[in-house]
Amino acid sequence: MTDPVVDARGLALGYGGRAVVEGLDLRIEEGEVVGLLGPNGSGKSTVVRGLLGLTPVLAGELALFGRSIDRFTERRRIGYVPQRQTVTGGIPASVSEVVDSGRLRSLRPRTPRERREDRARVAEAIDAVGLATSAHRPLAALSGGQQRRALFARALVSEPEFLILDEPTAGVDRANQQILADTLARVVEGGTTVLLITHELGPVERLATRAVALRDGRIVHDGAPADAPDEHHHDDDWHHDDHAEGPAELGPGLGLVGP
Amino acid sequence: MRIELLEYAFMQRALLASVLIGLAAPSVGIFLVQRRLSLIGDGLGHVALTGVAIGLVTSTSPVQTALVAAVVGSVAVELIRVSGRASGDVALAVLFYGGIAGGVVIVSKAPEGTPVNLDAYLFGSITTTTRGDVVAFAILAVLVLAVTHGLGRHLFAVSNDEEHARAAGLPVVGLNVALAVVTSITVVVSMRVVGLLLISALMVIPVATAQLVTRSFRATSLVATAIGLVASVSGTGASYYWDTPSGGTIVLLAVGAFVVLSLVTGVAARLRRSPG
Repeated sequence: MTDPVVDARGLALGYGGRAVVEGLDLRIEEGEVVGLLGPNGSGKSTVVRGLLGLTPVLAGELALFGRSIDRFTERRRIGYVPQRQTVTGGIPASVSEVVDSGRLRSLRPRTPRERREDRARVAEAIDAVGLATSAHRPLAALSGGQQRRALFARALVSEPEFLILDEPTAGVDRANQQILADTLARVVEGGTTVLLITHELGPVERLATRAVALRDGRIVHDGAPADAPDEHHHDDDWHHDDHAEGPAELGPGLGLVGP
Repeated sequence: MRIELLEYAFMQRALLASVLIGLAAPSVGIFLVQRRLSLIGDGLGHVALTGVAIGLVTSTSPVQTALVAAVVGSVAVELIRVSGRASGDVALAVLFYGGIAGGVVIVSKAPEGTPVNLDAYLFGSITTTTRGDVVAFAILAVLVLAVTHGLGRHLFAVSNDEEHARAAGLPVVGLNVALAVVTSITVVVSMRVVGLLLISALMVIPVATAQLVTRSFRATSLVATAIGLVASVSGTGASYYWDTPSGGTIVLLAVGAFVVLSLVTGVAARLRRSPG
């Protein structure tokens, strides 16, 4: 039997010794598509940062692929799509250069064969998100939704077994949401484990096979998406992004599983 | 055809040093601009001045003491930034003022009869580059280019998105320290010809000029290096004929290229937008 992708027991995560998330018990098995729900300040981002090794474990245990987070070095097995569009705007970096940065291995020089393989994988990842014609354009010249797709390609290019997407539809117009949805559908079909962070239930209901809801740093629901607390649909403290390029509603969302 | 300035050994050395600077400065500068640390070279120049002063007072090679001071300063600033004990600009301010104050105070204690001409170190002087300097600069410049090209993809990844680089397991602190060290080496390589107060300009301005016409990081790096090389060599040559300080002449040529290209690209963009 394979180790769970994520195994957190009594986990506390936080900053400067202050716990933001406490008593978290979360087990994610291989191939699961889990939606992590919660209002702003509920601890979703802290959980993500903990899984990425960016936030220290204050108490409890956290293992990835069967290895304690302290000893987990195979970071390439995890792909991460941040919510923010991380374009510095200083130097014009092309889409293919940014995607290529997700392919980095160790510091040692690449062999010619590895160079060829890297080039092929970068082209494939860019093609998978529908940006083949923009591969050599500066990332900063693309729309917000296209930039998110490029960062999705950067996560895919390392061929991850576990993909973490932080608010993938926030600030993204309908057309780009659909392309993201189609790409993610293929990733899910390939057996990749997915953790999808969102503040809205719409896309998760359609994509996730399981929903975990956080409130004030604790899990308040872990089960079928349809059974997730209904309050989240209407509660005013659920953040609605007002930087969206298109209509505020989710449109097609990530309609990936089932009709 | 005889080129007069090549007949002088000091000019040959100055031109060789300017080639090394022209190649090295933009190669490092592109990562500094990407990380919005354009002024770090300036701060390290100030710290290197303290090293120069220590060299003058102790009758040690100022290049060696400046190198030690700049490397120690750069690593300290990086570690202060990483530890979160002070913001990047506060750490930089301490470096700026502590460095120049240290240099001025220490040099005042130089033994009587020691030739002290800080201007040559601050603004560059083509007559001061020794044979030993050229050898040391060549070794250091090769080291800088080996790091910036050998680790170029990694340095780009960290400069472009440090959080993602950390999540991907890259040795971010090590890469940042490596960049800080090659920055300080570049400052020292440039101290004879460009000067400690002006080297930052040759790291930043060719990059700023190149990005006016490029669409990728790699192209920006190549074009910036070409601009840096042309500005450095032609500025050194011009300073011989015009009898001007080499550092200021090089930087003015680089600024001139930036202004001209800004105007050209601005007009071209306006023409593209205009109807018909």
